[in-house]
Amino acid sequence: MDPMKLSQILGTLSTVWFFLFFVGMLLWVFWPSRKRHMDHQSRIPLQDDER
Amino acid sequence: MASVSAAAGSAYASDASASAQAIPQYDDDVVRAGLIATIFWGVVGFLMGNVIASQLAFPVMNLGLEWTSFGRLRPVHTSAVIFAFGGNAMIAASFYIVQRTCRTNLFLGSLGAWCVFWGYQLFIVLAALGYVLGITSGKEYAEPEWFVDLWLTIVWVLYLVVFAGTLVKRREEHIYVANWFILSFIITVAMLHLGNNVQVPVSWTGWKSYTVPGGVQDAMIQWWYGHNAVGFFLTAAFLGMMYYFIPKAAGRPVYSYRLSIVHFWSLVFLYIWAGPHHLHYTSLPDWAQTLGMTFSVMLWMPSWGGMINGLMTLSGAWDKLRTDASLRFSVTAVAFYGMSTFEGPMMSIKAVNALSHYTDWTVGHVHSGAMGWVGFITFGMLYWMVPQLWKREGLWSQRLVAWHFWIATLGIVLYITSMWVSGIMQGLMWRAYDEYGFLQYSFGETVDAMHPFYVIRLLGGLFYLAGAVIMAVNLWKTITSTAPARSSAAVATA
Repeated sequence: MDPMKLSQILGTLSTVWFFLFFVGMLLWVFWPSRKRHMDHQSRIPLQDDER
Repeated sequence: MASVSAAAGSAYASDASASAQAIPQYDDDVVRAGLIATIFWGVVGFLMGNVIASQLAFPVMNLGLEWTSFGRLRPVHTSAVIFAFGGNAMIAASFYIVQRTCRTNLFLGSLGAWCVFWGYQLFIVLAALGYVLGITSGKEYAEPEWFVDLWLTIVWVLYLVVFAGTLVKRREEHIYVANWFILSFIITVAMLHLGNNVQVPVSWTGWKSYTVPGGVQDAMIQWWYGHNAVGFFLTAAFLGMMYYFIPKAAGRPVYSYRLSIVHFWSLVFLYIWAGPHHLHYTSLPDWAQTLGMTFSVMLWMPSWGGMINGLMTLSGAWDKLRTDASLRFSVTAVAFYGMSTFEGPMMSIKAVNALSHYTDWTVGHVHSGAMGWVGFITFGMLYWMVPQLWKREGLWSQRLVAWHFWIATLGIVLYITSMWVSGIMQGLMWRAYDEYGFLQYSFGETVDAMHPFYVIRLLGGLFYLAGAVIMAVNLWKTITSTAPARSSAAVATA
């Protein structure tokens, strides 16, 4: 295949991949059932028994 | 889903019993050494900044010697504040944070951590000595020559092994978000360092080398490195510091843990593309310049999301700003982070950059980020961590902390306002034409017009340095004061 053409296709695919990754990340983070778990994780620094 | 939450529920229960178990013996000696090195290199770096600021205002300060000329001391200043002050602060902070959030001591024990620490100090000394003697690759913020680059590679890989190894052997199920930021910093800096220093030594016994790429490719690789040194060394790493020490000092969890994860992924994805904004209106292809500008503007969102997350952590605890010195510094740092991450994307817009590029405006922008964000978040950490690690009741003097805070804040304000005026004036003078279409001002006239602002900038720098010296005295007195150490019983119940 023509290298320029290949480069364009890869560029487009990587943009699509980044977009899908970002949307997937948002879905994962804001999934309602995960909230309780995340609230717990946010307390990790406060649970180290020191002060 | 029910089974998942049930499993999660039992995980909490086991966490609660785990916290009742004995605290692991943390490797804190190297953290203490890192804090002392941070204070030492901070004072050295700020002092060098004042020396070169005085040289710009009064050229006689070059002393007529090659070793003390601006061109040689400027990289000493930048490397001392970024890599020596900032680097030691991050080594100390990362070793402290990763042990506590993973509830385990360091991978490879204290020996590995000490090798990282002393190896890194050797790198700093080798680099700085080289600059003074004229041994430099001439790449901004990547000035060390090939043999120093190789040494740093070894040290940095060991740092990665210690940090990542500690994550692997963690006793906490989840990896806290501060560690994500720090890990991205260590990995990306390794990638940048290797990518930007592909160079061939002229001989194995001489220091001189040449980079393999040339021309605009070299320039693009250099600013891919340079801007991500800002993005990952001075931003992501210190955001890791923010996500641990602000909740810790405020005594409450970060405002939104979900936002912190969105902050992380969007920041690391966007920053890596922003470098071309350093090469607007050069021979870099237009599309690459526009790409750099676009990604820089998009960075507004994660930057401000992160800032809001840091500041909102204080909601309900704002009164602590009146009494807690470390929080006052940390919160002001986050405010400066917001300000400089607003200014940066604006300056990356090509029309704005046409005025701001190559002027003092850029210098002022960098310093609002470096002195305001990186400096203050580090001072906040130092004021919190020193009494903690040396088991003191509190700081030697709260009044001196207040003095440090106000004198340093005033210094930053003087610095950035003088550079705004100087830089915008400089840019406007460069582009002014007279009625016949000739340039209105010679270069010498612009330099002459900037002189008063260079003096004001020097004054601001002296204030900032004075604040750091006050901090050094206060922390030294805190460490060495004969006040009774916190008893072990108090530690246990605290």
